Amino acid sequence: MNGMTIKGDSRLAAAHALALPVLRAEPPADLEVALSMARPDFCLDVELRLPAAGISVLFGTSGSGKTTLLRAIAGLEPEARGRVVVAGVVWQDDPAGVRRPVWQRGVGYVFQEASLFEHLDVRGNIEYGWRWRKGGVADAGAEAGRRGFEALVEILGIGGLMGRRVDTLSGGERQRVAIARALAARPALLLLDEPLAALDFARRDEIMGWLEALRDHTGTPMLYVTHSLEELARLADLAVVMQAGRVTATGAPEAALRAAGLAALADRLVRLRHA
Amino acid sequence: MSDVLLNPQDLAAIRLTLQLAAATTLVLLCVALPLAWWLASSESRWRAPVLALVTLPLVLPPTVLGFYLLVLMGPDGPLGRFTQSMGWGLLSFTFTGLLIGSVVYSLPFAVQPLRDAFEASGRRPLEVAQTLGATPLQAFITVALPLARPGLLTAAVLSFAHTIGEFGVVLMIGGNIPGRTQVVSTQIYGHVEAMDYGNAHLLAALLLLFSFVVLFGLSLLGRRRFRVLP
Repeated sequence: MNGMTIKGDSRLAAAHALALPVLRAEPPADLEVALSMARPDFCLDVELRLPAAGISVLFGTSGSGKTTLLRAIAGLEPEARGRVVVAGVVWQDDPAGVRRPVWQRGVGYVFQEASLFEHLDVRGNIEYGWRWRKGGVADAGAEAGRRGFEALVEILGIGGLMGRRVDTLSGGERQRVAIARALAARPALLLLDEPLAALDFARRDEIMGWLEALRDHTGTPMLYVTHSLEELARLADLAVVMQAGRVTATGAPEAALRAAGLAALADRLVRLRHA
Repeated sequence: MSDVLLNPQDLAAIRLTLQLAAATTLVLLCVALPLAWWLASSESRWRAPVLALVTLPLVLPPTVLGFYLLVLMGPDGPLGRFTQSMGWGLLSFTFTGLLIGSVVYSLPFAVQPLRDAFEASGRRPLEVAQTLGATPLQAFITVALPLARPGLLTAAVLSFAHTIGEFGVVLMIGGNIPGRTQVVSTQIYGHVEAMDYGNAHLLAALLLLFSFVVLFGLSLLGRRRFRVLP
């Protein structure tokens, strides 16, 4: 794992020097989310203000509404009502009658299964990410677009995979391509829904390394859903604890767990960090 | 060679059959694509009845289907009145009438493989495409359609082959008029009625060979996805 990180870092140095301005998102502004939605098994009712930088982890047991919230932010849940403002842009404001459809939200979404397009190769998948959206990597001018693309490929270590059919990729490679595809559209916000759940231990560790690299080098804010304490411990700049469709605590991971009445988990989190 | 074996009337029947099958396949794909997409993705309460309606030609005797279509297109049927009022005359005993009948008759064979294909890839690829900035229509064209390609191929081939093999509907609507509505299957029937077994053999063998080649080729092309019946 250490070897992987070091190798990743040297690539990153190059990517950093090459294309930082291309990948760097707009100046940080808050993410504002106030959404509610009735589901058969629970009622989603969430109000959140998050810093528009780093990784915010939505943490909770399955069925606590994390995925629903993420989908609602992306605009994939038509029933969800409320307000979503990302980097100063209003994506949704139902009282004011504003509702951008999914494809106009400037969102990147990484699903639990990589969900790559099976009819396209790796390059085709990543290029699909900037094909439609104005302001995507290609929109910044051909030369800058190419550099942004190369930086992404470099940061995620997928240069050797470009011509491959997606059904020949390993689970970890698939997920890296999915992340690259989502980032190629230069989203204002990257949503990740348990992106490691389908991977084995070693691959999880590896991808977390890539995600840390992305956090440090792209400046794209990420909202990351998980029920894994390990991922919370390693990735979270900020923890949002969800229970039964509501946010019960927000803050630094350990403090948020304690505030949500999950002292036992907070203790395990501390032990994980020192391990 | 074929000039010696096949008489002009048989040749005309073969030509008409191929024309009808090609036209039917084209029209069917245009009709079946949106219909199959709707059936695969809609949660409307109309979905179940529409699905049953689309599947009906699979179980109804072709003569029943042909009979209703004939009545519909006839001088007193709603479709017949409409075409007459538009100055198009009657559709029964015409190529257009045959085409309509064939489209209805083969509808399930086009819709089912497409619906299966759309359902197999599910909503997820479209959601991904939309989060990447594609509108629903762009996502459909660039993602859903290419992913459904095996189903598209199966639908086209089955529609074509099934139209070539129909008998009851064309007999009811078309009336077996040489050069206008006489297709291979009805021509075979005519040969047998006239005790002309030699020509019946020839045309029957042609159909048999054609059908076998089509199905064999299809199974080679789409080994995993191929299903004859819905």
